[in-house]
Parts: sequence; C-alpha cells; structure tokens
Amino acid sequence: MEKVGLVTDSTCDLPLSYYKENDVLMVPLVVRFGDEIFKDWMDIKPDEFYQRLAEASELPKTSQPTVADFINAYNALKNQGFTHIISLHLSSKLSGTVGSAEAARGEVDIPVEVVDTKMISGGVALILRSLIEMRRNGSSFQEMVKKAYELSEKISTLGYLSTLKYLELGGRIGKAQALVGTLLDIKPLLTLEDGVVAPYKRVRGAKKVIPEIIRSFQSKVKDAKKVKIALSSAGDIEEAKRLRSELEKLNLPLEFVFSQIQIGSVIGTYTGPGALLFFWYVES
Amino acid sequence: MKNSLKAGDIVELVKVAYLSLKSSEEEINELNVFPVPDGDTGTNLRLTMEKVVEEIQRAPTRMDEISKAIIYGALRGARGNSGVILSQILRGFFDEASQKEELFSDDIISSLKRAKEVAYQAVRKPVEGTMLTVIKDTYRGVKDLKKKETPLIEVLEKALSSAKNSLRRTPEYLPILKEAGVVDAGGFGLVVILEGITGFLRGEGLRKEELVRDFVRTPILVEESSKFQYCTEFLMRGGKINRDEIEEELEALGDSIVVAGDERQVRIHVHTNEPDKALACGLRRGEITEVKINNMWEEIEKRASLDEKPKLLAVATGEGIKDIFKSLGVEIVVNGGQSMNPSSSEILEALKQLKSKKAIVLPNNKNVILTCEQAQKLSDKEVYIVPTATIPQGISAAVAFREGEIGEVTEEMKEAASEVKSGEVTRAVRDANLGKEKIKKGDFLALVDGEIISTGKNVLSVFKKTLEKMVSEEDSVITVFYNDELRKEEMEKVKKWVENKFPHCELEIKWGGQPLYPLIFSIE
Repeated sequence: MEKVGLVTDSTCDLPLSYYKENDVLMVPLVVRFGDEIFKDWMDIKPDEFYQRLAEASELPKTSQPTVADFINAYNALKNQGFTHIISLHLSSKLSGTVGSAEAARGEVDIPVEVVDTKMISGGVALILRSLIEMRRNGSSFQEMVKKAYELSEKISTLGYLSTLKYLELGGRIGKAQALVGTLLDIKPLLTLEDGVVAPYKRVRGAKKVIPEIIRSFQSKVKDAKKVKIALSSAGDIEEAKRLRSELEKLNLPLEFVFSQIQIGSVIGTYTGPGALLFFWYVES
Repeated sequence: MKNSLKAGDIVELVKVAYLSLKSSEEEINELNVFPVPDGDTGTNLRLTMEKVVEEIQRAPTRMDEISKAIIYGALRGARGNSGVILSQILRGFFDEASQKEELFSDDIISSLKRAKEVAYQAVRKPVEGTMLTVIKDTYRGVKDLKKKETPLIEVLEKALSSAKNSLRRTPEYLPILKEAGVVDAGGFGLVVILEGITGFLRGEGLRKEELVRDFVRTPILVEESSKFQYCTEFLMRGGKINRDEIEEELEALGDSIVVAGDERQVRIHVHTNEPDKALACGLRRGEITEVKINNMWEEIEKRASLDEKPKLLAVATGEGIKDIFKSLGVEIVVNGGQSMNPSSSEILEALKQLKSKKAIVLPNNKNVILTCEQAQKLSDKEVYIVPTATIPQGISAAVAFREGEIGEVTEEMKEAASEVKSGEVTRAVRDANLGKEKIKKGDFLALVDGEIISTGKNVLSVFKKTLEKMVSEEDSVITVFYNDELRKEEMEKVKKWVENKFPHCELEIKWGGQPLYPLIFSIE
C-alpha cells in the first residue's frame, strides 16, 4: 500500500498550524541577523521579522537547510510508515534548498522526488495544497509527482515590490537588474521566468499598480473555467485585500485558495516590506 | 616526506583544509556569481568544513571512524550549493578511504575517483564549469600516474595543477562566469583546499597571495576561438557503458569533455574537429539520439554581430531630460527638439550606431516625427516609430518599454503615450489676442496638448493656474521638468503647493535643463 509523505520548506509561507493539520513535514530555512540565528517561521514570525528588518543596521542573511536536515526529515517520515516522499521546494535559481534535498534523497531508502517548483511563497503553497487534496482523494505517488511538475510550469506570477533594494542587495534581482537606477520613480512589476526574477512591466504611480496587474491578469485568463489564486503580502495586507476586491469585480470564476499569506522572514529578506505577490493558474 | 597518510595525518589535513578556506573566505565570496550571486560561497564552504572539524575532534583516530565522522560532519554542515557538493566530494573520498588503514598514492587516486562519481550522482542536473568540473579534472589529471610508484606528494602536486587548469577554464563552460570575468567560486574553494593540503605536506603552508593574484585579482579572459570547431553533444544508450573508457577515447579527439550518466545511458559532450569520430564512438557502443552539432566558429562570428533585441532611440534636448531617457533604457539620445530639429541623416547615423537589428524610435516632437520616418525608410534596420509628439509622451512610452514581441511592445508604448496630458510653459514671442485675453510679448503662457490654458507675468502662477484647470480626480501622477530659469528652492515651494492642492497625486519634480521652456510637465 502506497503512503505518500509530503515535505516542503518554510518558504511556502504558511503558518505552522497548516502543516500540522494537513500532515506535511516542513523543513525551515534560516535567517541570520548578525550572530542571531532564527529558523524561518519557527523562531521568527513575519511581524517580528519586519520589525527587526526596519531596525537592523545590516541586512539579514539567509541559509538553506542542511543535507542532514532533509535526511532527518525523510527518515522521520519513513519511520512513520510512509513509502514515498514528495519534497516541494522554492526555485533552485533563488536558493540551494533543492540541492540539499537532492543530496539527501540518496541517503534514504524509500523513493523521494525532489521538486524544484521554480516558485516561491504562495506559488509553492498552491502546489502543496493541490497535492494535499490529491492525497486525500487517494491519488498515486506518480500522479502527484506529475501534477507537481505540471503546476510548477503552469503557475503565473506578478509581483510588486515597493523597493528593489532588498532584491538587489540580496543578489536575487536576476533579469530585473535592468530596472535599477532609473531617475524617475518607477513602480516595477516583476514576474518569475523559469524560477528567476524578471521584469514584467513598469508603471508610474503607485495607484496604477493594481489596475495594471488586473489588466495583465485579464488578458491571460480569458475564457478560463476556473482560476486558482494565492496572494502573499509582506507586512501590510491592505493592498492584497484591495487587489482581491478588484479581482472579484471581474466576474471570472476565481477561487482564492490563499488570499492572506504573510511573506515570512526568508522570502521577506529579498522582497522587503510592502511587497505584494500574486500567483495563479488556470485549472483544466 | 611521507609516502602514506595515516588517520592522524587526515585529522591534521582536515584542519588545514578548514583553515585554508577560512583564510580565503572573503576572496571566495567575491567570486560568487553562480548559481545565486549572493556572495556567500566562501562562507558556506567554511561553515561546511567547520562542522567536519567539530566531528573529527570527537572521533577516535582510526581511519574508518575518522572517515565516518568526516562524512557525517559534512552532511550536517553542508551550506549552500557549493557546501552540498563539497560534502558529496568528501563523502565519496572517505567512503573509499575508510576501507584502508593508511592511504598510499594509489588509494588517493581511487578515492578521488570515487569523490568525483559521488559528487556527480548527487546532483540531478550537473552543471559544468563548477566544482564538479574541477573535481572531475583533478581526478583526470592523476588517473594515469603510475599508481604505486609515484610519490604521494607528486600525486598531490599533479592533482593541484590539474585543478588549477580546470578552474581557469570554468568560464568556458559557464557563460555567466565569462560575462563577469571570474572563475567559479566553489571551484576556487577546491583549489584553496588542495593548495593548503599540498603546501602543508611540503612543509610550506598556504600560498594564498599567489592564488588570489592568479584567480581573483586577474580578470579572466576566455580565448574565444577554440582550436576545435564543433561542439558535439548526444545521448547514448546501451548496456554496461564504461564512462572512463569513452572519456579516454574522446580525449584523443578534442577537449571540454563531459560524459555524464549511468551504465545504461550517458550524455556526451566534446569540442572537436572530428564530430564524425565522436559519434562513431557512441555508435560502436549502443544507439544514439538527440544529436546536436554546433559550428562554434560560426557562432562566435554571429555573436560579434548585432543583437536581435530591439533598442530604443530618442530625440531630446536638455541634459537632465536626456539622462532620464537613458536611465529608462534608451540607448542613444539624439540632440534635438523644438526649433532645433535634427536632420534625417543624423537620425540615420544614430540608428547605425545602435547595437541591434531592431530599433524603436521616440521623436518626442511633432516636427521630428517626419524626419524619423524618412530615416526609417533609409535605414537597413527594422525600425519602429512610436510617434510621440512631446517629451512627456516620450517618457511615458519609454517607461512602457519592455522585452517582448516588438509589434506588441510598440503598441503598448503608443497606448502609454496617449494616456498622458503633456504641458509646457513658455514665453510669448509676440503680442497676440487670445479670445478675451491679450498676451504681450515676453508673457508666459502654458499649453496643454497644444492648447493655451493660461497666461500671465509669473511663470509659476501660470503653472499653478494650469494645474488647477487640468488636474482631475482620475489623475494620479504629476511630473515636472524645470530648467535653469528656475531655482530649486522655488520648485520646493511649488512642490508643497501641489501636494496640498492635489493630495491624490504623486508628484515628481526633476531638473530637465531644457532650452526655451522653463517648465515641461505631464499629468496622467
């Protein structure tokens, strides 16, 4: 009898209770303020993180889990009687987490599929949620693996950061480097392109951000039968609420799977406060 | 000089490796551009090794127990992609070594072989030009030494020199390294470890200065024209594939050899002048598929020619305004504007200088649009014109520029330009009657989209009157470019006034340096 264990990391930005309720094993990344080390979501919650970030003289650093962390996680599931494991992680272009997980899978004697979701935050959460439902409905390991890869290709991302400073200083700016250094105050809309941060569009004026997101979204989901959505915010969730209410006016078949995700300390190290990330996919 | 390494020596060398990494941590960090350019490779390698040192201090001094402790410590401490690979290298090496009581030359060679294999297996998609390549070449450099007879120190010296040669070539594999002009950071870490160990056994210590000079301070230039013309790559399937044997055969044909996979299937990559022989090498052993042969010399030539990505060209005057266009990604700004229109040959010349086959042109003046259209006809490039008639329209269009299909992008730019109200404040050149109002020569008048909105003796009050008439509830951004007729302090006051008057708008005031118009502004 197949029993599929689900592992993810803290960058799905879901609260600890979510993993507990849904029988998912979460392996945390780590954030460091100088010599102080915190396990993402376990030792430091978003509110405290943004507070510290505002007061910190030096930007925090982040680290992926170690190989041993994953070996321990996989073995723990094996000991609980799981026969297969799917390990869902944030984009390998942004973090070495997938690398640690990959190295660990050889040390365990049950099949482990390490999935590079090419996503972060709500994007990973959407895939996790879908797998949780499949497992509940009795889907096989193979079917779930297939779905995970399918979704990682399918999910679209639009993101708005109130500043590119954190992304740039943290070395994650990717192709959005081109947006840095404009002399006018430009609001960049970003996307993830094959797991790398890339520029999507530039607008002027904070008020045009949400209309532009709506406009881009609409042009991409015409005739969709069902669209699943996750919204992640860093700090303030007012913008996410506003985006949600604008989206609801569109008269499209939208399902808000997660609409109030708080971006945690590791992803928040690179987005900075005030970020809004919008993830969606069309359910076929 | 020792001819074998005993457990006690290993403990010492592990500490030497750790201290070597620690002393070079900053330099390794500096090189880090791949896969995530966050400058922490050195730190990650050091932290990984730190745990190894911690573990062996607790272990009894027997080779198998020391080996176990090293493997365990590395797995526990592995940080970052490079740390993970280092942990796998150590795991492979000491897996093999743990079966011996002391390590002789031949044991070192076979342990290096195992290290290379384990490292490659642990990574799903091995990327060449990284630590993986360096460990592979390190082994390759020593594998043909007479295993038993070669003195230990010579094996290590050969391993070190092979690692250095390999490191120097990492930018040939990884374009991102080539662009940055650096060698791979993790690979450099491996060289640091080998240098430290070899130096210690020689009784000299780490020659860090030399390493830093050769690999960190010297920009790495890649020989563009490889002596081999064809990059040949294919997938081969068969039973019981012997990768070492294939590698050896390919070495006679060229360089940049990669043979990755398992006993049933391998991906083969080689730069050679005899792609036929490379393919034959696969065909003799099984079936081949996904064959790709690129003529690299032709590609180098192509790369030296023009980009396919469209570049922006704009016409404008005023140093401030030009700088703003450039910061928005405009490649060339041709000097010109109201009453100083550029000629079509000037535009044509600028188009020629653009390093792209495709151009998008922003004329930014009604009278320049036609000139640009003429240049468009004469140019041998694919030229698109977004017919912006004012500087604010041009700026909105430039903001809307993005990578993408050029037709679609220019449409978006046109739309963006059409959404902005453009205004300017200038002086009347003669007396005139304007409906009920009389304008005297030298009075200020404000125009919005070509229409006179207000007039007066004071430039700033004319501007304020215009905003009062033109800013609506829907507008959200007001942008103002001023020139040297106005002082910064005056503009600060205007700023306060606008912020009070139109709290729903964001305001940006910039020095534009444009002639003729004290103020150019936009409302959108």
